[in-house]
Amino acid sequence: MNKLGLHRVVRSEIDLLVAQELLSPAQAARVRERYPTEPWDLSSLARWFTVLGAVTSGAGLLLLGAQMDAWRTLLEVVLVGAVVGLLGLGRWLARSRRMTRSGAALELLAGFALQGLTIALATHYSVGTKNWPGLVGVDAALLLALAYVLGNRLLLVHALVNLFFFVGGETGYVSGWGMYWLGLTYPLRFLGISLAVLGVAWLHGRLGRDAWRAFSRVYLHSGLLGVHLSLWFLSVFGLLGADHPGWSAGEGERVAFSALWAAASMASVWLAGRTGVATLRAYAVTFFVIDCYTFYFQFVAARSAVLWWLHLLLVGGSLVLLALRVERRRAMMSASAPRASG
Amino acid sequence: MPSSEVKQRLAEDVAIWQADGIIDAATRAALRARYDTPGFELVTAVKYLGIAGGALAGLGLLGLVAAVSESEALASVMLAAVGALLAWAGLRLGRDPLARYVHTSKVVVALGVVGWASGLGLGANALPLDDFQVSFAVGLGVVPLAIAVAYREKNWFLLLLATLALFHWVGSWSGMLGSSTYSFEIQDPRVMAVIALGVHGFGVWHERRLELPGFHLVYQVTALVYLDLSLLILSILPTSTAGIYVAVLTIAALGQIVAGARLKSRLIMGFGVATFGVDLFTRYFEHMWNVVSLGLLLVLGGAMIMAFGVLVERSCRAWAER
Repeated sequence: MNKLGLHRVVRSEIDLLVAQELLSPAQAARVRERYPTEPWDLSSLARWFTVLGAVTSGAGLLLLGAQMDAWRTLLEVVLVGAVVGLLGLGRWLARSRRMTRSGAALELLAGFALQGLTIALATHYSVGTKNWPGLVGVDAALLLALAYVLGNRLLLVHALVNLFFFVGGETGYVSGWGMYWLGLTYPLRFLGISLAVLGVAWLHGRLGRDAWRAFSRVYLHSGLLGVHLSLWFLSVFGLLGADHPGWSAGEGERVAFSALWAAASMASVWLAGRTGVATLRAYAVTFFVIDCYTFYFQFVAARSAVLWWLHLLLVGGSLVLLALRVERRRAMMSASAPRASG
Repeated sequence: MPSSEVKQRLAEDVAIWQADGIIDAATRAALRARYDTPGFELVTAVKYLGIAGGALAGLGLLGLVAAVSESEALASVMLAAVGALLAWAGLRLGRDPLARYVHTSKVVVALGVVGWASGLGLGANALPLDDFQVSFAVGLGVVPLAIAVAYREKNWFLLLLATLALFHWVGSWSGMLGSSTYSFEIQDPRVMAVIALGVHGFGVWHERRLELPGFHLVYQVTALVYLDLSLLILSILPTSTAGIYVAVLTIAALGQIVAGARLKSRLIMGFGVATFGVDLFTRYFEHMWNVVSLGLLLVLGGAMIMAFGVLVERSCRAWAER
């Protein structure tokens, strides 16, 4: 079935759910928007163009706040005006014009302007401590508070990105080398924080106001990404990460973390089946592929002389044989079940 | 009642409806029961057991290639024979009249094709051929055959391997350098971009015309990965033409978002958003020394994109209220 056909069937099913009073008309209207049958999916187009525009402009504001040396006071006044003006405009569009997506994106841009302002103020009135991670932490707290006050998920994403850098995440691009890089100081700490974030996701799904319940998905994505990234780093660098140049993780330690990573992926697939949360499975499958790829280059290609491949052939081959036997038994049991019941 | 495809989609989506605060937990539980979500049954366990085993054994085969590459002629014959045998066994299992091996047969076929490809690769390497001739011969012996078997057996996993092999055949390479550096290269990104665009177009046509679950996704996903990466590489090197390709990449990313809205495809739209993000990230770090001009460019460019989004939403609301 193509997408248009699928969306038509889903929409008629939604109408049926309203008729059976499983969904209210207001709920149905919000759900129906997600399955467009019109020639263009305008609501998605509006969402992504407003969000990408806000992020692009926001990156420019951060750059100006951090690096512009001239007209500092003027820049600070402009940024204060931008924060207040964008927040007001965003609220007005969302409430008076019912343009919720544009309103949310303008609030996101206000968040970027606020961060640009804190950076500009910190640079202007610097006391020489050079504690830039502390400033990022302050920004994370400000944005988090703003996200909860306004009930805006985009601001929550922005706050969590800042939190990532505050607790030791680093990323960048080396111009001329075509090289992107990502760093995590103490990946085990990230693992703990990410598990806590998943706990917050669960709590938001269960408790809290309706506006905040929608935050659950943001925390879920952040937590899952953090768990898999930290296990990835642990499988490559070992327990202490790359922050201890003298430390070289033993092969056994890295193999153990690779196995733990694979076990976490499998557990996520199981949990996805139990809870119906497909996001768990999507992350698990994607990172399981990366785990296998990394494992191959770390241990198989580098250690072919000591018959790693033979171990893999034996273990993998045994799993396939086991799957064959289980599937055969299951098929035979389901074939005999109707006969027995009949 | 809706078909199984619709029920599966709704069973997954109701979790998102709840996470987005549209419905409460009780409504979600009622809807889950209505769409009869199967949960983690034995069939799921078997499927993932088979896939995990297949992945590990596949890596073992590659390790075997590395280990025996000093006696290439013998190893190639051995590997090709084992691969052919595994593929034949997988096909036989898949045709079982009682349908007892629906999932695992696909893994066995895929393993057989990996073995066959490795055998051909080693054999070609043993002959007095240069690298180009080796890769051409191996691609010719593997890709068409794998695609034909994938269609015959309706095996989307094998088609995925074949499509990846096709793009590698055209000229791409990836690997892990040292302990923590992953690398990816494309020999001629211009040629790759054109081919990827063609494959993606075929994937869109496939979705509309042919009822083969998963096949169109394989074409669309792999093609968009290679198209966007080719344009990204061209936007970095060579520096003489990088400026032109920065514009091409940005237009391609925004174009994918528009195409996703027209085709109602979250996949195409998602690729557009991700590509735009990578483009912005790269330009930010590439030019951040040139503060004022880049900062102002980003502020103004972003404002224009945002204004377009606001206009679209306004039109959307106006039509809805008519």
